[in-house]
Amino acid sequence: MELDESTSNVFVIGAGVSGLTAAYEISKYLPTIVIDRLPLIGGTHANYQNKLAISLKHKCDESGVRFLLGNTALRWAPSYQLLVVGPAGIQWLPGNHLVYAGGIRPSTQAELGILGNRLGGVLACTVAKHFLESGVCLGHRVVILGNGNSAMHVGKDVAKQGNQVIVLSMDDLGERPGYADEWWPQWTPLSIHGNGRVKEILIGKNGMKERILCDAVIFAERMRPLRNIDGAIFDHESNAVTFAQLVSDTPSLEQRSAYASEIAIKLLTVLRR
Amino acid sequence: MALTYDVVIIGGGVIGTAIAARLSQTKAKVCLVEKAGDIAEGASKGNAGGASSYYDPPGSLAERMTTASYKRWEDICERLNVPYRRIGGMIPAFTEKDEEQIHINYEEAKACGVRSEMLTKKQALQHEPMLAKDCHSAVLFADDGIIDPMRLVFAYAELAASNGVDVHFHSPVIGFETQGGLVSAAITPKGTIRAQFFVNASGVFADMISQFAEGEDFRMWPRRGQYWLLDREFGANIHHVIYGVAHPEAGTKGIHIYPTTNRSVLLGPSVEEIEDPYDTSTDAKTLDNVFQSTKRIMPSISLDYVIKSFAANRPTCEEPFFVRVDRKVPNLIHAVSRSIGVTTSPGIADYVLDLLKDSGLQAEEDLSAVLRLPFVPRLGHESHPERINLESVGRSFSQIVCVCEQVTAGEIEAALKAHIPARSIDGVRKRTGACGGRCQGAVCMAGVTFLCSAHGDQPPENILMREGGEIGIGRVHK
Repeated sequence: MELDESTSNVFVIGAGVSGLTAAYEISKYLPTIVIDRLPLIGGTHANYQNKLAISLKHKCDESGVRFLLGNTALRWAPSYQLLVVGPAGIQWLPGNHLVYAGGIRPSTQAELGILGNRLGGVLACTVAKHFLESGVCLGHRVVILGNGNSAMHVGKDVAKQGNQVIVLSMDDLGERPGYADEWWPQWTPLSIHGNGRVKEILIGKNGMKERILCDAVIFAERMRPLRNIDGAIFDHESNAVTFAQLVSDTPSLEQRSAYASEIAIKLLTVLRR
Repeated sequence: MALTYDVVIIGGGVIGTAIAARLSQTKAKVCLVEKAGDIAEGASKGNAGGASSYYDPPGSLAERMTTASYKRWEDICERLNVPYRRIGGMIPAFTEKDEEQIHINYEEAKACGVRSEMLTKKQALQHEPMLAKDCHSAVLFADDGIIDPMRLVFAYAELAASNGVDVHFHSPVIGFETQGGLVSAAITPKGTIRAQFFVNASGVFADMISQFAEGEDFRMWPRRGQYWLLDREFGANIHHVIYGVAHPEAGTKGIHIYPTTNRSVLLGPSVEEIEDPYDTSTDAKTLDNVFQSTKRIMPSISLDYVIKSFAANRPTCEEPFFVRVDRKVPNLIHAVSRSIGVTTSPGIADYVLDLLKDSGLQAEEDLSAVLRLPFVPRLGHESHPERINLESVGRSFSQIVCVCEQVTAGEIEAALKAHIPARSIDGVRKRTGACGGRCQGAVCMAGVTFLCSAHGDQPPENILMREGGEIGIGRVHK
């Protein structure tokens, strides 16, 4: 892609509803380029029924947003250049701001402070989802950490396979999810044990401790933004990075879009100054 | 029928594979036996990758092996395509007692002929601006470096295998046949292996191997170390290895701040003498102690940057370092190193070859042996990735699989097709870094699994988290 060095390109990472919304708002005033790892729009909800994403794409096209789909952004250099890698090759593109809406991921074992080894059968919900879609059986007693949307997608599929689902939620007091055979609200996972493959998880609440026997543990707890571009892990003015996505994985697509729009408009008041 | 070799090397860690790589340059017929399903499954997969220029007092064997190794890293790593940076190491002092100790280190290093320099407080802070401001002084070892310790072991093994060394996995030595005071064959569950010489590079299990061979009596035990791994975003601010002060009464070299070759940072290790070599559990109290000790040295260290914590065990022995012919069994050679396996591995490899020749091994240099490995572009390690020539290396080197560690499909395919191939998620992680970054595989583990699956002609649920017979990602037996 040929880019004019003199233009003040804004890169938007992620072509989900948040990224598309932000790109549309920004493109009204500044040249905007949307980059996504996948060769299609919609992000986590990439399908033909995602009418919101499809209509946003049309609006972006009309507004002159350029798309680099199927490309991965890897590094945001202090010289305001973005390393983009994809079918067209490996290139540095100049730009003056990076807006990140690259999706969410579950907190890792370390981030949740869970002790124990790297064991078989312990997976992030994002990975579990891919496996379930390929018909892989994750386990016969599957502990799911978390009670949000991501947890639900995994839980329902595991239950559909005829396997037991044990749901543990650190923060949530809510209703027992319909797909859960066991429900442990406001319990904290402490450590994971096993020899090669996970065998049990130790959990705690108010000084009480319990051991849950299991053969799989799925992380879907405390979803956080997937920040994996070097130089764009934190947002502060000096590195010209803004995060335009909701962190929680429960709100609707419309709520996500509204949030991204709000962030993009705020950002524009700064950028146009 | 038993296999027959000139030399059997027992143990596929950094020392065993370094020896295998060196012997592969000769005409001797060599094999390496490893009890696990992959190489680098013991201490070699859980260390910081320090390649020091100074570690032990002058005149000791450990010092000789360090000195015989440290100047060669640029050459070795260029040939073997292993990330290495000679960034220098520093011990800052915060008390008068610390200052006394680092002066001893300074004098010792000088006596070893190693470049070392005393830094004033001002100089120390110029070298490393994030040091705590109450630092008194520091000693700098300019020739210390950092290496990717797992890639080094794979490179040694790959070079050895390229030159015809046989590597037998899932082959723990469970006994020996002896004849006239010599060991004549190693017994493994997969069969008996005859040889003229046996090299014991089995790390924490070296005492057991010696016992099986009716050799010397010594005792090994695991020393557990817990680490924090911090993100590159923090690592960008650290320019040297920062060592804790090694007070002799502590019996350890202290807790360090180790930049890695991919610019993340390791904090650790702790020191815990334990019994079970497979116990790599972590505990909150020890990890907090590691964090506090390093925060004392560098106050801006924050757990906000944590990618993961882990524990790894290093082999320990009363005699911390010995490479010699067994005193009872003249065709058994021990190569045991505590904490400095990476640092001394090139030196040990040469020295073991000398010991073998002195003992009567015919090991003429094989001039047709390869000395370098094919170049595999590593986008994540390139400061100018745009210069990678995709036309010549292939488009798969611009297909990103692991975003955090910037690992391409090309690299993963190279790992799956190597002489010593990756066959599990962990095997890919150890060779390429994929699944080992910020998100710990949340983005790429499915992709890595499907690549392993397609390459090995296996359904994805059969792909193991770790090579070694344990049940993997999804396969569950009722």
